[in-house]
Order: sequence, then structure tokens, then C-alpha cells
Amino acid sequence: MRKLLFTTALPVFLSVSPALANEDVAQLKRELQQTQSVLKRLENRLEAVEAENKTMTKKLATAQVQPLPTSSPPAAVKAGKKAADNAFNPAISAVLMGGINGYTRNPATAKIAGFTQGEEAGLPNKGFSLGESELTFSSNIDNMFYGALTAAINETGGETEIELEEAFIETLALPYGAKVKAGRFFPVLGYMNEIHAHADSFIDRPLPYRAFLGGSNFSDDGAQLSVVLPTNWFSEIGGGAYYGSAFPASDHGHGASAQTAFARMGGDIGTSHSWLAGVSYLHSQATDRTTDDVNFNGDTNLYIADAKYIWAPGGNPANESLTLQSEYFWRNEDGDYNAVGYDRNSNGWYAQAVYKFLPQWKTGYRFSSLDGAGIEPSLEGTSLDAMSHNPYAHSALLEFDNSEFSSIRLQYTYDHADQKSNNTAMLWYTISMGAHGAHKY
Amino acid sequence: MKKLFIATLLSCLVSAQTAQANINVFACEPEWGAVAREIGGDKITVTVATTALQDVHQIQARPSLIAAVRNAQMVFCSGAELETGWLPVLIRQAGNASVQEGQPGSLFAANYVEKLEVPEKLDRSQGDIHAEGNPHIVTDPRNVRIVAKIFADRLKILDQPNASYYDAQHETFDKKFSAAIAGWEKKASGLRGMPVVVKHRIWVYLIQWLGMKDIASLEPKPGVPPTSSHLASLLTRLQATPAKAIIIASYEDNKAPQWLSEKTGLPVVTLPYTVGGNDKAQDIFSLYDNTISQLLGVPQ
Repeated sequence: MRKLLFTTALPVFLSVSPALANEDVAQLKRELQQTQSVLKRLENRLEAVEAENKTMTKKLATAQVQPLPTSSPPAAVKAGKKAADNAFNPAISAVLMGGINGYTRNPATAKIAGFTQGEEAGLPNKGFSLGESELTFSSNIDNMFYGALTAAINETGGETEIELEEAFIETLALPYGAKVKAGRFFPVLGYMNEIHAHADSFIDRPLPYRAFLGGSNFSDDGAQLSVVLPTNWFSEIGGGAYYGSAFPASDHGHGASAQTAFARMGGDIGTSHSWLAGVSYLHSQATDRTTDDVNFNGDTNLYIADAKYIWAPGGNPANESLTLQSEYFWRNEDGDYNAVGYDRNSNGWYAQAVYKFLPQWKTGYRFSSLDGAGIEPSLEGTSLDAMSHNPYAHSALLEFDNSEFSSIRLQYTYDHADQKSNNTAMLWYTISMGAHGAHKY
Repeated sequence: MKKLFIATLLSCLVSAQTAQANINVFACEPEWGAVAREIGGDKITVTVATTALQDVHQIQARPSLIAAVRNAQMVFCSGAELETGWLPVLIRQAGNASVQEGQPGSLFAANYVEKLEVPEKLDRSQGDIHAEGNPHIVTDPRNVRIVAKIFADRLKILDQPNASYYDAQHETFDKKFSAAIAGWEKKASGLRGMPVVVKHRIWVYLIQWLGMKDIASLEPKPGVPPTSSHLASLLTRLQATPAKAIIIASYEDNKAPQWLSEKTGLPVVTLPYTVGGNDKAQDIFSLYDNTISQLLGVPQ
């Protein structure tokens, strides 16, 4: 994952740093003044446009609602101001996550037996820990496009980094249920890949995501075409091509080193049951990809089958619901590791159940497991060497949601991904501010 | 892969042709489904996304709903952020050009009526409030009457060959419905000034229409479940200013209202709220018939 350092883009914040030379400060002041005057001008223009918009809205409203001959003239209503259609345009929201973690073994040296870990596949640190703080801007751009920008702000080693998680446009009005998404985004791949980690049921992602997709999401620059078919059941097919900068791909020189394809279906059974199931495929090429202590050249083919089922009595998930979710991963790596020829398969899966037993309370259980590929003798002792251990983990969850916008989660994991087991307890909060985000199924 | 895409495109073309024979309307709530059926008659097919027993604030963007939006020529919803937790996802995922906002196929009822409780201040410490005002406009039939006219106009745009049919349907409906409104108002004149306790603030339009008085809500803030401390303070308040009844919708949990009812002796009146909310409220007329006769049944 490429990280963007925005140190130069934030002169205002840096102006407080005593390390800066005097002329830099003067320069910054000038820039700040210029920015302020530009802002002032923009503000004036915005006000003018808003005023115009208001009168237009009023005109439209009166033109559209023709007075009806009425037997009962409406009583005087409390004056309600008409909300402008663009009250939340663009929608801005922020997500904050943080908590405290306890481990019986050091998480910094934790490994997944038989698998190399992508850059973000590690465990959160011991003790107090801040998750990703995410900022999202999204909006319909016009009648044709929707756009969204999500930036995650992290601090590593005392440096604040802004990581561009997603920055994409999506078409709204192509014929035949077709959609094109372009930019940087989380492609449809399995069930969870297109979902931001803060929206997960559990605090961390299950083992297959850490082993096969480098942490929480495969995110890359590219384009995806999908078509929702005109069937009574939900059915959608699609695929895309990506630059190939994210694990398991690495820059291969031709600019489209990763490709995906997917098909999924879903529907209801009566009013209380609903389901979604899909298959997806990721092909990626890697040249000189180094993870942990090994270097890979070659092709990765990853197949994922996923299924989700929700029971909500009467279709009303507000008071009680049960969510089951499972994904199966199968991977072939064909190439060479540390210049030794390699063509092997590995697989993994997880299954989870989350039960909402009171309007504000949920409890859940998850099992995840991996089956490594085995190694050529010359790779003994590297991170690919599982030493005949198959990684697995049990997780249990208790969640309290004060409202839709805030939740507190307690998760216990018996983590046997490494040779020795690790007992993990995490207590985390997740809150979202600003625009009311709609939830994906 | 290529063959699959071609097959898909062909099947889309075929279905696009057959779809013209009938207008598919996706109604978010049962009341708009009922209005659509009154006006559209047999010229339209209506899919209703929710039932009267569901809390519309908390619907999941289920795959079946994506499919229904994909196949619709019109999305007919309350708006004013009532469906904000799921409808935007459906519309984005469905990839249907004709139901995007601004198209004739996108109709948000609350945009056409005078809304109550438009917040002066937007702050989530006030609960899950709606920036555009209270979206539960269905509880006043005069709002429904305005929206029915707008809906008929939209149908005429979407299905011009049948315009005169929709005009006639609307005229018949409007005559019957306005006569019914006059009847309900006459019948309900005794309810004027009646003090009631509500659970969630979904009855403001009804209360305003019939001149009732709501003196307290069971929810401390909109969308926040009743807490014991709030209920206790409610109890003291009700001793000072007595109410006649606690009114809730049939989709709402009745534990807290029952508790308060046992403490105060006030009857809990479970109103249908929308079409299908009980056995008697099966269309847009019987909805208000039943609502008013239940309120009249409360000892005054």
C-alpha cells in the first residue's frame, strides 16, 4: 500500500513547529493570507448562490403543489423552513476507533504459520492503541457521477501519515443496470473486501484476510465494471483491472497487474430471512515482491466463495437478529520464492455468527482457520515454513451500541495462528460523526 | 466471460422491452404503495419495500431490495431522511438511471408538504433527528392527498399513453378521499385538546391535524430507547399534567409503554400508523377510519 505523506500540504499546522526557519514562517504567513482572501471570496460567492437556490426551491415548491379544492383547509402549521436539497452536499463523515489490547504473548513478533504477512496484516499493539481515524467525503457529483474520498490518518513512529484508502468516482446513470467505478477503491472480492474495517462485526479481520489479502482490504488503482441483472432475485456480475500495487500483486511493469471477476446473487425467503452469496476471483502478478523474509516472483490466483444470511423476525432487525457469514479462500501461487521454483496451493476459511439479543446489545462468535501450502526444502526456516502447524483462532464478541453512531466492543480471541497460542482481549470504541452513512447489507 | 456478458446484454434488452407494458413502482412504505395502487390501478405494478410491522428507520439494504430498485421505473418514498440508512445504498447499487434524484422516477413525498419540527439546531446529542423536519407525514391524510396529486402527475410523465386514465383515477380518488377527510374531522371533533403520551415522535402530524396535545415522549431523545431514569421523571410529570392515553405504532416495542400504563392506569393505544398496521387498516381509507375509532374508544 502506498502511503502519501502530506507534510507539505499542511503548512498551517506546521507553522507552530519551532524547527522552521524564519523566512519559512514569513512565506507561510503570506500564503496563509492569500488563502484567507481566496476563502473570503469563495464564501461570498457561496452565500449568493445559496440565496438564489433558496428562492428557486420556494418557487419550485409553490409551482408544483397546486392548491387543491379542499373540504378542510390545513390549519396553520408551525413555520418550517424548507431544507435546501443540498443540505449535506458533500456528505462529510469521520470515524474514530481506539481501545486497549492485552496479549499473553508479544503481538509485535506474532506470525501466521506458513504464510507471509502483507504490510498491514500485523496485530494492533499492546496497551492503549488508536485505530485508523477515517475521514470521508462523498457526494453525487451530477446526474452522472457519484464520488467519494476516504482518507485514513495514522501515526507511526511519531510521524502522522495520511493514507488514501479510497478515492473514486462511480457512474449513476448507465443503461442496463451497468456501473463503472474508477480510481482507487476496494474492489468487490469476497464479502468483506469492499467494506471498511470499522463497519465489521468484529474488531479485527479474520485470518484469511490477513494471510491472503495483506490485512484488511485489497485496495488498488483501477476500474471496475459491474452489471445488476434485471432478474427478480438480486444478481450481479462484474470485474475489473488494477495497477497492481497492493498485496498480493506488486508492480509488474505493464500497469495492470491485478484483475478481478465476480458474480453474486441474493434474495429473501419470506419476510424474516435474507441471503447473499457470491464467488470471486483475483489474479495478480508480482515482480520482486518482498514480504517478511521472502521474495516472490510470479502469479497468484485467488478464488473466494462467500455467503451471508440474516434472520430478523418480521424483517425488523431493530430488536432482534441473527447474522451468519462465511468465506472460503483457495490460492495457487505459481512462480518462485527466493529464486526457488514454487507452484503450490493453500486455503483458509472463517465462519461467524452475530446475535442481536436486545436493541443495543450483540454477541458473536467466529472461527477462522488456514491450511498452508507446504514448502520446498530450501525454504525451511523462512516465514513460509509452517513447521506442520495449521493456524486457527476462536473469537468471542460482546458489543454495546449506544446509538447507530457509537459502539463499544469487547473481544476475546484464542489466537493459535503462530506456533504458540496467544490469548488476546480487546476493548474498543467506534464512533462515527457527521453525515448518516447508509449501511451495506 | 465474453459470452456471459453478451448473454446478459441480450436478456437486458428483452426485459427492457417487456417492462414498458407496465410501470414498476418501488414504494418505500406501505402508505405510498397504497396510494400508488389507488391511482395506478392495473397499469402499474407496485413493490412495497417495508411492512407496517417494520421500523423504517432501521431497514437493511437487502439484496432483494436492490433487485426491486433495479427493475423499477419509479421510486416513491417519504424522504426527509427517513430512509437515509438504506435507500441511498439501494439506489447506488442498483445502477438504475431512471430513479436517480432529479428524474421523474424519483419521488420523495415529504418534499411537497409543509414539514413540522424542522430542527433549529443540528446536533446528534439531540438524538437521531432529521435535518429536514419530521418525516412521518402519513399520519395526516391531508398530506397524503397532496402527494397523491404529485404521484399522478409523475405517472403521466412516465406513461404518457395512459395519462387520461391516471387523471380519471386521481379525480375519483381525490373526490372520495377529501369527502372521507371531512368525515374523519367531523367524527374526531371530540378529540380536540386530548392530552397523550407518545413513544417516538411519529404522531406530530396526526396530533396537529386533530388538535390533540402531546405532552411527553417515552424516548428521552429521538431514536434513543426509553431509560429507567427518563421513565421515572415521566411518571412525576404525568402526575402534575395527566394524559388520557399512551399511543404507539404497531411496529414499536410495547414494553416501556406497558410499564408506564401499569404505573399510571393510562390505556396503551396501538395505532396502525400505516396501511397493514392491523387487520382493519388494510387500505388508505381504513387506515384513518381505524386510527380515529381507536382514539374515540379511549375513555375521555
